[in-house]
Amino acid sequence: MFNHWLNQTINALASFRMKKYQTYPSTKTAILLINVQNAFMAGQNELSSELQRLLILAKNNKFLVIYAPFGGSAQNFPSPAQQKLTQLLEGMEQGIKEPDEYEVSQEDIVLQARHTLSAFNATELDAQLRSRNIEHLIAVGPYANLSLDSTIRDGVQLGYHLTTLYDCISAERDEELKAFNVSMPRYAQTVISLNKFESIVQKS
Amino acid sequence: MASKTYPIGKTAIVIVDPYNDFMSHWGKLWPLLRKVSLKYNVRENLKKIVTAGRENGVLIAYAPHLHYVPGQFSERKYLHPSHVGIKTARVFEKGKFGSRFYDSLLPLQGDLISSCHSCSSGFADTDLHEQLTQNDITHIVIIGYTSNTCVEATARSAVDLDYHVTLVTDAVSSWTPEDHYAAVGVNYNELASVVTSTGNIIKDIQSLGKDHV
Repeated sequence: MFNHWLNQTINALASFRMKKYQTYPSTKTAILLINVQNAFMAGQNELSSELQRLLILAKNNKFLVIYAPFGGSAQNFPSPAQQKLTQLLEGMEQGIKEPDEYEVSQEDIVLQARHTLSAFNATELDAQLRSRNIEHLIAVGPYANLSLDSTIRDGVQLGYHLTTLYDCISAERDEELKAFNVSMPRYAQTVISLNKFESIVQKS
Repeated sequence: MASKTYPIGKTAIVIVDPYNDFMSHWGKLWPLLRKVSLKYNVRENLKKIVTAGRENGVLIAYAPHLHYVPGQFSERKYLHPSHVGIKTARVFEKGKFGSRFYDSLLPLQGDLISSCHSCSSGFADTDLHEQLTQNDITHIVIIGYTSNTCVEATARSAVDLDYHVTLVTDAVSSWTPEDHYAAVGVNYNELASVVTSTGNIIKDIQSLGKDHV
Protein backbone atom coordinates (compact mmCIF):
# COMPACT_ATOMS: atom_id res chain seq x y z
CA MET A 1 0.00 0.00 0.00
CA PHE A 2 2.62 2.50 1.17
CA ASN A 3 4.95 1.30 -1.57
CA HIS A 4 2.41 2.02 -4.30
CA TRP A 5 1.32 5.33 -2.88
CA LEU A 6 4.88 6.60 -2.63
CA ASN A 7 5.73 5.33 -6.11
CA GLN A 8 2.68 7.01 -7.64
CA THR A 9 3.41 10.29 -5.87
CA ILE A 10 6.97 10.37 -7.19
CA ASN A 11 5.87 9.44 -10.72
CA ALA A 12 3.17 12.12 -10.69
CA LEU A 13 5.72 14.72 -9.62
CA ALA A 14 8.12 13.72 -12.42
CA SER A 15 5.33 13.78 -15.04
CA PHE A 16 4.24 17.22 -13.87
CA ARG A 17 7.79 18.57 -14.13
CA MET A 18 8.22 17.17 -17.66
CA LYS A 19 4.89 18.35 -19.04
CA LYS A 20 6.51 21.48 -20.46
CA TYR A 21 8.49 19.29 -22.90
CA GLN A 22 5.26 18.47 -24.75
CA THR A 23 5.67 20.81 -27.71
CA TYR A 24 6.33 19.46 -31.17
CA PRO A 25 7.69 22.14 -33.55
CA SER A 26 7.72 20.76 -37.11
CA THR A 27 11.42 21.43 -37.69
CA LYS A 28 12.50 19.74 -34.45
CA THR A 29 10.27 16.64 -34.42
CA ALA A 30 10.79 13.21 -35.97
CA ILE A 31 8.68 10.06 -36.10
CA LEU A 32 10.88 7.03 -35.49
CA LEU A 33 9.40 3.79 -36.87
CA ILE A 34 11.26 0.95 -35.18
CA ASN A 35 11.07 -2.42 -36.96
CA VAL A 36 8.03 -1.45 -39.04
CA GLN A 37 8.73 -4.26 -41.50
CA ASN A 38 6.68 -7.01 -43.16
CA ALA A 39 8.03 -9.73 -40.86
CA PHE A 40 6.98 -7.89 -37.69
CA MET A 41 3.77 -6.24 -38.92
CA ALA A 42 2.12 -9.39 -40.31
CA GLY A 43 -1.44 -9.73 -39.03
CA GLN A 44 -1.30 -6.49 -37.05
CA ASN A 45 -4.11 -4.58 -38.72
CA GLU A 46 -5.01 -2.52 -35.71
CA LEU A 47 -1.45 -1.30 -35.14
CA SER A 48 -1.02 -0.69 -38.84
CA SER A 49 -4.06 1.56 -39.10
CA GLU A 50 -2.93 3.60 -36.08
CA LEU A 51 0.54 3.98 -37.61
CA GLN A 52 -1.05 5.17 -40.85
CA ARG A 53 -2.99 7.77 -38.88
CA LEU A 54 0.25 8.87 -37.22
CA LEU A 55 1.97 9.18 -40.61
CA ILE A 56 -0.83 11.36 -42.01
CA LEU A 57 -0.48 13.58 -38.96
CA ALA A 58 3.30 13.65 -39.56
CA LYS A 59 2.86 14.64 -43.19
CA ASN A 60 0.38 17.41 -42.37
CA ASN A 61 2.79 18.82 -39.81
CA LYS A 62 5.95 18.28 -41.84
CA PHE A 63 7.58 16.02 -39.25
CA LEU A 64 10.60 14.06 -40.40
CA VAL A 65 9.83 10.32 -40.78
CA ILE A 66 12.59 7.79 -40.10
CA TYR A 67 12.46 4.05 -40.75
CA ALA A 68 14.79 2.03 -38.52
CA PRO A 69 14.76 -1.59 -39.73
CA PHE A 70 16.22 -4.66 -38.05
CA GLY A 71 18.33 -6.79 -40.36
CA GLY A 72 19.01 -9.98 -38.44
CA SER A 73 21.61 -10.82 -35.86
CA ALA A 74 25.26 -11.32 -36.77
CA GLN A 75 26.65 -11.61 -33.25
CA ASN A 76 28.56 -14.21 -31.27
CA PHE A 77 26.02 -14.12 -28.44
CA PRO A 78 22.67 -13.04 -29.89
CA SER A 79 20.00 -12.48 -27.24
CA PRO A 80 16.76 -14.49 -27.39
CA ALA A 81 15.11 -11.27 -28.62
CA GLN A 82 17.51 -10.98 -31.57
CA GLN A 83 17.10 -14.69 -32.33
CA LYS A 84 13.31 -14.36 -32.35
CA LEU A 85 13.37 -11.31 -34.64
CA THR A 86 15.91 -12.93 -36.96
CA GLN A 87 13.76 -16.06 -37.23
CA LEU A 88 10.71 -13.96 -38.16
CA LEU A 89 12.74 -12.13 -40.81
CA GLU A 90 14.04 -15.34 -42.32
CA GLY A 91 10.60 -16.92 -42.27
CA MET A 92 9.11 -14.44 -44.72
CA GLU A 93 10.05 -13.43 -48.20
CA GLN A 94 10.51 -9.65 -48.28
CA GLY A 95 10.20 -9.75 -44.47
CA ILE A 96 12.84 -7.07 -44.12
CA LYS A 97 10.96 -4.50 -46.25
CA GLU A 98 8.50 -1.94 -44.94
CA PRO A 99 4.91 -3.02 -45.75
CA ASP A 100 3.51 -1.84 -49.11
CA GLU A 101 1.03 0.62 -47.60
CA TYR A 102 3.92 2.67 -46.23
CA GLU A 103 4.82 4.96 -49.09
CA VAL A 104 8.35 6.03 -48.33
CA SER A 105 8.88 9.49 -49.75
CA GLN A 106 12.06 11.29 -50.75
CA GLU A 107 12.10 13.34 -47.57
CA ASP A 108 11.95 10.26 -45.34
CA ILE A 109 15.08 8.62 -43.99
CA VAL A 110 15.50 4.85 -44.22
CA LEU A 111 18.38 3.75 -42.00
CA GLN A 112 20.61 0.86 -42.90
CA ALA A 113 19.31 -2.37 -41.36
CA ARG A 114 21.05 -3.08 -38.04
CA HIS A 115 21.76 -6.25 -36.04
CA THR A 116 21.46 -4.63 -32.59
CA LEU A 117 18.25 -4.14 -30.60
CA SER A 118 18.68 -0.37 -30.20
CA ALA A 119 18.32 1.75 -33.32
CA PHE A 120 21.00 4.06 -31.93
CA ASN A 121 23.71 1.46 -31.55
CA ALA A 122 26.32 1.57 -34.32
CA THR A 123 24.03 3.44 -36.73
CA GLU A 124 24.03 6.93 -38.20
CA LEU A 125 20.74 7.79 -36.43
CA ASP A 126 22.16 10.15 -33.78
CA ALA A 127 24.29 12.01 -36.35
CA GLN A 128 21.33 12.36 -38.72
CA LEU A 129 19.14 13.75 -35.95
CA ARG A 130 21.78 16.19 -34.72
CA SER A 131 22.54 17.50 -38.20
CA ARG A 132 18.83 18.37 -38.55
CA ASN A 133 18.45 19.79 -35.03
CA ILE A 134 15.80 17.24 -34.08
CA GLU A 135 14.97 17.27 -30.35
CA HIS A 136 11.61 15.50 -30.10
CA LEU A 137 11.30 11.85 -31.08
CA ILE A 138 8.01 9.96 -31.39
CA ALA A 139 9.20 6.33 -31.15
CA VAL A 140 6.72 3.59 -32.09
CA GLY A 141 6.52 0.09 -33.55
CA PRO A 142 5.79 -3.63 -33.06
CA TYR A 143 7.52 -6.02 -30.59
CA ALA A 144 7.85 -2.95 -28.40
CA ASN A 145 9.58 -4.55 -25.41
CA LEU A 146 12.47 -5.70 -27.63
CA SER A 147 13.88 -3.05 -29.98
CA LEU A 148 11.67 -0.07 -29.17
CA ASP A 149 12.47 -0.30 -25.45
CA SER A 150 16.26 -0.37 -26.09
CA THR A 151 15.93 2.55 -28.53
CA ILE A 152 13.93 4.68 -26.09
CA ARG A 153 16.48 4.09 -23.31
CA ASP A 154 19.37 5.09 -25.58
CA GLY A 155 17.50 8.11 -26.98
CA VAL A 156 16.84 9.52 -23.52
CA GLN A 157 20.49 8.95 -22.57
CA LEU A 158 21.53 10.93 -25.66
CA GLY A 159 19.44 13.91 -24.52
CA TYR A 160 16.31 13.73 -26.70
CA HIS A 161 12.73 14.25 -25.56
CA LEU A 162 11.18 10.83 -26.13
CA THR A 163 7.46 10.33 -26.66
CA THR A 164 5.81 6.98 -27.16
CA LEU A 165 2.14 6.40 -27.98
CA TYR A 166 0.08 3.66 -26.31
CA ASP A 167 -1.84 2.78 -29.45
CA CYS A 168 1.12 2.81 -31.84
CA ILE A 169 2.95 -0.10 -30.25
CA SER A 170 2.38 -3.83 -29.87
CA ALA A 171 3.99 -6.86 -28.29
CA GLU A 172 3.79 -10.59 -28.78
CA ARG A 173 2.12 -11.34 -25.45
CA ASP A 174 0.04 -9.26 -23.01
CA GLU A 175 2.67 -9.44 -20.31
CA GLU A 176 5.31 -8.10 -22.69
CA LEU A 177 3.06 -5.15 -23.47
CA LYS A 178 2.52 -4.66 -19.75
CA ALA A 179 6.26 -4.77 -19.07
CA PHE A 180 6.77 -2.05 -21.68
CA ASN A 181 4.00 0.06 -20.15
CA VAL A 182 5.44 -0.35 -16.64
CA SER A 183 9.07 0.45 -17.45
CA MET A 184 8.85 3.00 -20.26
CA PRO A 185 7.34 5.86 -18.21
CA ARG A 186 10.59 5.66 -16.22
CA TYR A 187 12.46 6.58 -19.43
CA ALA A 188 10.29 8.29 -22.04
CA GLN A 189 9.30 11.72 -20.79
CA THR A 190 5.92 11.51 -22.54
CA VAL A 191 3.74 8.40 -22.77
CA ILE A 192 0.31 9.30 -24.19
CA SER A 193 -2.34 8.12 -26.66
CA LEU A 194 -2.33 9.01 -30.33
CA ASN A 195 -5.47 11.13 -29.80
CA LYS A 196 -3.75 13.11 -27.08
CA PHE A 197 -0.67 13.58 -29.26
CA GLU A 198 -2.90 14.76 -32.10
CA SER A 199 -4.61 17.30 -29.89
CA ILE A 200 -1.27 18.68 -28.59
CA VAL A 201 0.06 18.98 -32.15
CA GLN A 202 -3.11 20.65 -33.42
CA LYS A 203 -3.15 23.18 -30.59
CA SER A 204 0.38 24.38 -31.20
CA MET B 1 33.82 -30.24 -13.12
CA ALA B 2 34.19 -27.58 -15.78
CA SER B 3 31.62 -24.85 -16.17
CA LYS B 4 29.93 -25.34 -19.52
CA THR B 5 28.77 -21.78 -19.81
CA TYR B 6 31.43 -19.52 -18.33
CA PRO B 7 35.03 -19.51 -19.63
CA ILE B 8 37.72 -19.00 -16.98
CA GLY B 9 39.35 -15.59 -17.12
CA LYS B 10 36.70 -14.27 -19.50
CA THR B 11 33.83 -13.98 -17.04
CA ALA B 12 33.04 -10.95 -14.85
CA ILE B 13 30.36 -9.96 -12.37
CA VAL B 14 29.07 -6.43 -13.03
CA ILE B 15 27.41 -4.83 -10.01
CA VAL B 16 25.25 -1.79 -10.74
CA ASP B 17 24.73 1.06 -8.25
CA PRO B 18 25.21 -0.66 -4.85
CA TYR B 19 24.74 2.69 -3.07
CA ASN B 20 23.47 3.49 0.43
CA ASP B 21 20.61 5.55 -1.03
CA PHE B 22 19.27 2.34 -2.59
CA MET B 23 20.30 -0.26 -0.01
CA SER B 24 20.71 1.19 3.48
CA HIS B 25 17.89 1.56 6.00
CA TRP B 26 18.84 5.24 6.08
CA GLY B 27 19.02 5.57 2.28
CA LYS B 28 16.68 8.03 0.59
CA LEU B 29 15.12 5.46 -1.76
CA TRP B 30 15.09 2.50 0.63
CA PRO B 31 11.43 3.15 1.63
CA LEU B 32 10.48 2.30 -1.97
CA LEU B 33 12.98 -0.48 -2.59
CA ARG B 34 12.65 -2.34 0.71
CA LYS B 35 9.54 -4.28 -0.27
CA VAL B 36 11.09 -6.25 -3.14
CA SER B 37 14.60 -6.24 -1.61
CA LEU B 38 13.48 -7.90 1.62
CA LYS B 39 11.16 -10.36 -0.12
CA TYR B 40 14.01 -11.88 -2.16
CA ASN B 41 16.92 -11.23 0.26
CA VAL B 42 18.52 -9.18 -2.47
CA ARG B 43 21.14 -7.48 -0.29
CA GLU B 44 22.34 -10.79 1.15
CA ASN B 45 22.34 -12.40 -2.30
CA LEU B 46 24.44 -9.61 -3.79
CA LYS B 47 26.98 -10.06 -1.01
CA LYS B 48 27.07 -13.85 -1.54
CA ILE B 49 27.63 -13.56 -5.29
CA VAL B 50 30.36 -10.92 -4.97
CA THR B 51 32.12 -12.93 -2.24
CA ALA B 52 31.93 -16.15 -4.27
CA GLY B 53 33.32 -14.26 -7.27
CA ARG B 54 36.31 -12.95 -5.33
CA GLU B 55 37.03 -16.33 -3.75
CA ASN B 56 37.04 -18.01 -7.14
CA GLY B 57 39.05 -15.51 -9.16
CA VAL B 58 36.13 -13.97 -11.05
CA LEU B 59 36.56 -10.26 -11.84
CA ILE B 60 34.16 -7.95 -9.97
CA ALA B 61 33.31 -4.78 -11.92
CA TYR B 62 31.48 -1.83 -10.33
CA ALA B 63 29.23 0.25 -12.58
CA PRO B 64 28.35 3.27 -10.42
CA HIS B 65 25.90 6.10 -11.04
CA LEU B 66 27.23 9.65 -11.19
CA HIS B 67 27.17 11.48 -7.83
CA TYR B 68 24.73 14.36 -7.67
CA VAL B 69 26.00 17.94 -7.41
CA PRO B 70 23.72 20.98 -7.66
CA GLY B 71 23.66 22.38 -11.21
CA GLN B 72 24.57 18.99 -12.67
CA PHE B 73 21.71 19.03 -15.17
CA SER B 74 22.05 22.65 -16.32
CA GLU B 75 23.46 21.53 -19.69
CA ARG B 76 20.61 19.12 -20.30
CA LYS B 77 17.53 20.54 -22.02
CA TYR B 78 15.38 17.46 -21.46
CA LEU B 79 15.73 15.71 -18.13
CA HIS B 80 15.01 12.03 -17.86
CA PRO B 81 12.28 11.07 -15.32
CA SER B 82 14.90 9.70 -12.90
CA HIS B 83 16.93 12.91 -13.24
CA VAL B 84 13.87 14.76 -11.94
CA GLY B 85 13.84 12.44 -8.92
CA ILE B 86 17.59 12.72 -8.33
CA LYS B 87 17.46 16.51 -8.53
CA THR B 88 14.41 16.84 -6.29
CA ALA B 89 15.64 14.50 -3.53
CA ARG B 90 19.40 14.98 -4.08
CA VAL B 91 19.89 11.26 -4.54
CA PHE B 92 23.53 9.97 -4.56
CA GLU B 93 24.67 13.43 -3.41
CA LYS B 94 28.40 13.86 -3.68
CA GLY B 95 30.25 13.57 -0.38
CA LYS B 96 27.13 12.40 1.49
CA PHE B 97 26.11 9.06 2.99
CA GLY B 98 23.80 8.21 0.06
CA SER B 99 26.54 8.20 -2.57
CA ARG B 100 28.77 5.82 -0.63
CA PHE B 101 28.78 2.14 -1.51
CA TYR B 102 26.69 -0.03 0.82
CA ASP B 103 28.85 -1.32 3.67
CA SER B 104 28.86 -5.01 2.81
CA LEU B 105 29.58 -4.30 -0.87
CA LEU B 106 32.63 -2.05 -0.68
CA PRO B 107 35.07 -2.53 -3.57
CA LEU B 108 38.31 -4.34 -2.73
CA GLN B 109 41.71 -4.31 -4.36
CA GLY B 110 41.60 -6.18 -7.65
CA ASP B 111 38.05 -5.09 -8.43
CA LEU B 112 37.41 -2.92 -11.43
CA ILE B 113 35.51 0.37 -11.05
CA SER B 114 34.23 1.98 -14.23
CA SER B 115 33.66 5.69 -14.73
CA CYS B 116 30.17 6.82 -13.67
CA HIS B 117 27.05 6.60 -15.79
CA SER B 118 24.85 9.67 -15.81
CA CYS B 119 21.61 8.16 -16.96
CA SER B 120 20.96 4.46 -16.65
CA SER B 121 23.09 2.03 -18.63
CA GLY B 122 26.46 1.27 -17.06
CA PHE B 123 27.95 1.25 -20.57
CA ALA B 124 26.64 4.60 -21.82
CA ASP B 125 29.41 7.20 -21.97
CA THR B 126 31.62 5.25 -19.55
CA ASP B 127 34.83 3.23 -19.82
CA LEU B 128 33.15 -0.01 -18.66
CA HIS B 129 33.31 -1.66 -22.09
CA GLU B 130 36.93 -0.59 -22.56
CA GLN B 131 37.98 -1.90 -19.14
CA LEU B 132 36.15 -5.22 -19.58
CA THR B 133 37.64 -5.66 -23.05
CA GLN B 134 41.15 -4.96 -21.72
CA ASN B 135 40.55 -7.78 -19.24
CA ASP B 136 39.43 -10.16 -22.04
CA ILE B 137 35.91 -10.37 -20.63
CA THR B 138 33.25 -11.78 -22.95
CA HIS B 139 30.75 -13.13 -20.39
CA ILE B 140 29.09 -10.90 -17.78
CA VAL B 141 26.71 -11.53 -14.92
CA ILE B 142 24.81 -8.28 -14.21
CA ILE B 143 23.38 -7.74 -10.70
CA GLY B 144 22.34 -4.80 -8.49
CA TYR B 145 19.83 -1.96 -8.51
CA THR B 146 17.29 -1.61 -10.00
CA SER B 147 15.80 -4.56 -11.90
CA ASN B 148 13.99 -2.79 -14.73
CA THR B 149 15.97 0.45 -14.86
CA CYS B 150 19.77 0.51 -14.57
CA VAL B 151 20.32 -3.27 -14.52
CA GLU B 152 18.06 -3.87 -17.52
CA ALA B 153 19.49 -0.87 -19.38
CA THR B 154 23.01 -2.18 -18.74
CA ALA B 155 21.92 -5.60 -20.02
CA ARG B 156 20.41 -4.05 -23.15
CA SER B 157 23.67 -2.24 -23.90
CA ALA B 158 25.64 -5.43 -23.20
CA VAL B 159 23.48 -7.32 -25.72
CA ASP B 160 24.20 -4.73 -28.39
CA LEU B 161 27.92 -4.85 -27.53
CA ASP B 162 27.80 -8.64 -28.05
CA TYR B 163 28.50 -9.85 -24.51
CA HIS B 164 27.18 -13.16 -23.28
CA VAL B 165 24.73 -11.85 -20.66
CA THR B 166 23.54 -13.58 -17.46
CA LEU B 167 20.86 -12.05 -15.23
CA VAL B 168 20.02 -13.23 -11.71
CA THR B 169 16.36 -12.81 -10.71
CA ASP B 170 16.93 -12.61 -6.93
CA ALA B 171 20.03 -10.41 -7.08
CA VAL B 172 18.18 -7.38 -8.43
CA SER B 173 15.40 -5.29 -6.91
CA SER B 174 13.01 -2.56 -8.00
CA TRP B 175 10.49 0.07 -6.99
CA THR B 176 7.33 -2.06 -7.02
CA PRO B 177 6.59 -5.77 -7.50
CA GLU B 178 5.22 -4.85 -10.98
CA ASP B 179 8.48 -3.15 -11.97
CA HIS B 180 10.47 -6.11 -10.70
CA TYR B 181 8.29 -8.58 -12.59
CA ALA B 182 8.47 -6.58 -15.83
CA ALA B 183 12.21 -7.23 -15.69
CA VAL B 184 12.78 -10.65 -14.12
CA GLY B 185 9.53 -12.27 -15.27
CA VAL B 186 9.40 -10.88 -18.80
CA ASN B 187 12.20 -8.89 -20.38
CA TYR B 188 15.18 -10.72 -18.87
CA ASN B 189 14.07 -13.83 -20.76
CA GLU B 190 14.35 -11.87 -24.01
CA LEU B 191 17.70 -10.27 -23.25
CA ALA B 192 19.90 -12.73 -21.40
CA SER B 193 21.50 -15.94 -22.65
CA VAL B 194 21.09 -17.23 -19.08
CA VAL B 195 18.47 -16.20 -16.48
CA THR B 196 19.26 -17.86 -13.18
CA SER B 197 19.10 -17.68 -9.37
CA THR B 198 21.72 -16.73 -6.77
CA GLY B 199 22.09 -20.36 -5.69
CA ASN B 200 22.78 -21.58 -9.21
CA ILE B 201 25.12 -18.80 -10.26
CA ILE B 202 27.19 -19.40 -7.12
CA LYS B 203 27.55 -23.07 -8.09
CA ASP B 204 28.77 -22.00 -11.54
CA ILE B 205 31.23 -19.53 -10.01
CA GLN B 206 32.55 -22.17 -7.61
CA SER B 207 33.14 -24.61 -10.45
CA LEU B 208 35.19 -21.90 -12.19
CA GLY B 209 37.35 -21.65 -9.06
CA LYS B 210 37.93 -25.42 -8.97
CA ASP B 211 38.97 -25.40 -12.62
CA HIS B 212 41.33 -22.56 -11.88
CA VAL B 213 43.22 -24.51 -9.21
